[in-house]
Amino acid sequence: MKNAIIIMQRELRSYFTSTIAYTVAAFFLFICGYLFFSVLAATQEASLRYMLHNAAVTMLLIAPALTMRLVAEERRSGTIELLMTAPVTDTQVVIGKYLGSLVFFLSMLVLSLQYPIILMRLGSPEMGPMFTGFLGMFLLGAAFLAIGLVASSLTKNQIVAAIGAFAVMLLLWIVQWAAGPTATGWLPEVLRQLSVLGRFDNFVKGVVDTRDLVFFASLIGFCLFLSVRALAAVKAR
Amino acid sequence: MIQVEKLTKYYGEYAAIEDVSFAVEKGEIVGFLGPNAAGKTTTMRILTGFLQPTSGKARVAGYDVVTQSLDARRRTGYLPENVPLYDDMTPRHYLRFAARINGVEGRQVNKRVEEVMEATGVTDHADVLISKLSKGYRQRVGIAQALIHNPDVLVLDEPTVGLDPNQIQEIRQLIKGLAGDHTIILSTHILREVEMLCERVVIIREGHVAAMDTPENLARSRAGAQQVKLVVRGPEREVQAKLAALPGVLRVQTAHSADGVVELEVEGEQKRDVRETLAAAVVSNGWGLQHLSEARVDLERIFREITLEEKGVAA
Ligand SMILES: Nc1ncnc2c1ncn2[C@@H]1O[C@H](COP(=O)(O)OP(=O)(O)OP(=O)(O)O)[C@@H](O)[C@H]1O
Ligand SMILES: [Mg+2]
Repeated sequence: MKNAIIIMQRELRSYFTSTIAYTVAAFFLFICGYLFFSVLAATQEASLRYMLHNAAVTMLLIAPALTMRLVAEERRSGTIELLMTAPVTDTQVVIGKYLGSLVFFLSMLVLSLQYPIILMRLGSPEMGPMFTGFLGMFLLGAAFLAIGLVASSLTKNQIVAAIGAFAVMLLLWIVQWAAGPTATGWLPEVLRQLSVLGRFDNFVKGVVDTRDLVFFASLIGFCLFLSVRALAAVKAR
Repeated sequence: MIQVEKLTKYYGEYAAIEDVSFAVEKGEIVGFLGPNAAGKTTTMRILTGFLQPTSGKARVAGYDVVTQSLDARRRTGYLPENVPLYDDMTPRHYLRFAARINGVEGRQVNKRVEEVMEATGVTDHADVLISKLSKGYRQRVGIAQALIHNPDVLVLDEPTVGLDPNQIQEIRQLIKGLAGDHTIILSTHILREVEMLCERVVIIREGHVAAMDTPENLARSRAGAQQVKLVVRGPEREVQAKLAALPGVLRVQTAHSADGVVELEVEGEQKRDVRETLAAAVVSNGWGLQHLSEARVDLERIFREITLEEKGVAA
């Protein structure tokens, strides 16, 4: 764990000196702000539901942008050779890098807490859905960052990593449309199960379902496992 | 300190190295010499745990590089070819990271970073972004990170490539100073470097070890004899006759003779060093010994011979 923390700290340092990371954070906060005020003006409702629902789309761009560099850039520049010949395990490398991206994302999310705070000053919003909405946003982001990390571990090219991650996320995003809300049978059911958007919406509505928590946790776990395997494959080449 | 046994690495169908065996003793500097694509980097990557061998065994500091990889890596410092470093960090921050990731204790980190920066001469560039450093300074930072955890074994892949002559000189001095405390294996194309730094050479060609010995022995075995140059004050004929009769001496030739001083070229058996025998004989006969030296080894020629010997010889 100590090694993972050391790697995480290096990743964070790298984010905080990178223009991409600042651009991404600014973009996220701008979109959130825009959605917040336009939704508020239109509905006059003390709720973050619509804002969160729409802001989630930005994760499709943010997660690839934050993760594409993680492993791909080390493979391109060769720094991975020094990282992997240091006395750290592949798992520690993967966890460290993942935590780096997660903590950066979390700090973006913390900055966006200004909107619920404004809302609390303006009116009396329901606290429950607001809290679970942000939890959902965090889990969605965490899952997408894990997918981005896998993509980044599979290539030396950041752009390929970003596009690959985006494609997978988009697929998980729209998969329930193919199923439709009412169709029966095993395939629509599986597709509905895979839909991250449906599960995210539950959180926004204020519903915390254990199955949703388990889904996100397993998706993250599976992605981290794949990343470790991808890294080990670099060695065995 | 390093034992390599029948190491083989295939990239797909292609054997980059095959049945490579050698050993390096504690405190030694061994040169790994070979033309391009001989398999030097491949071997070093296996030793440092970056690549898995297809077959064969390697031990570093007593630990198997495959089954006890973490223990082996803890005791190894590595300078990869082309010196990959994080361009968005400064040497100081980077070395702190390298120290912690290599297990240097928290309280020791800063002290250790200052020490290696001092030793490698990067202190005055400690806070410049690595992307802005010259090749020579990158190389120093690379060596600094290899040293950071005071490893038993140093693996240096072409440590002086791409440097200007002054920097080459400085880096060589630095490496030489590290010998003794550290066991060093370094790869290079430059023969002078091997002669200056290394106690032993492993010459590798097309993935096979072609020769392995001290630079001097290698030269002797190639020449088929030891070549000694001798300047003696004494009667020419007698000197020549008496020296030629000594055990191990194959041939004595007078190169020059004037004013009672004889310059001789002596060939000795390659297996034994005849220099001391010669010196003792000259002194015990009451002649004056003015000069005695082994003729300069022409490693360049040997390297060319060994690496160019075609497969025809082996087949
Ligand atoms: N990742 C790889 N995939 C396929 N072949 C490789 C790979 N790495 C090296 N090789 C091949 O293996 C052989 C040995 O390469 P290696 O880099 O070990 O040589 P080297 O002795 O270090 O050469 P140089 O002096 O040029 O650095 C070369 O023919 C090279 O093309
Ligand atoms: Mg090489």
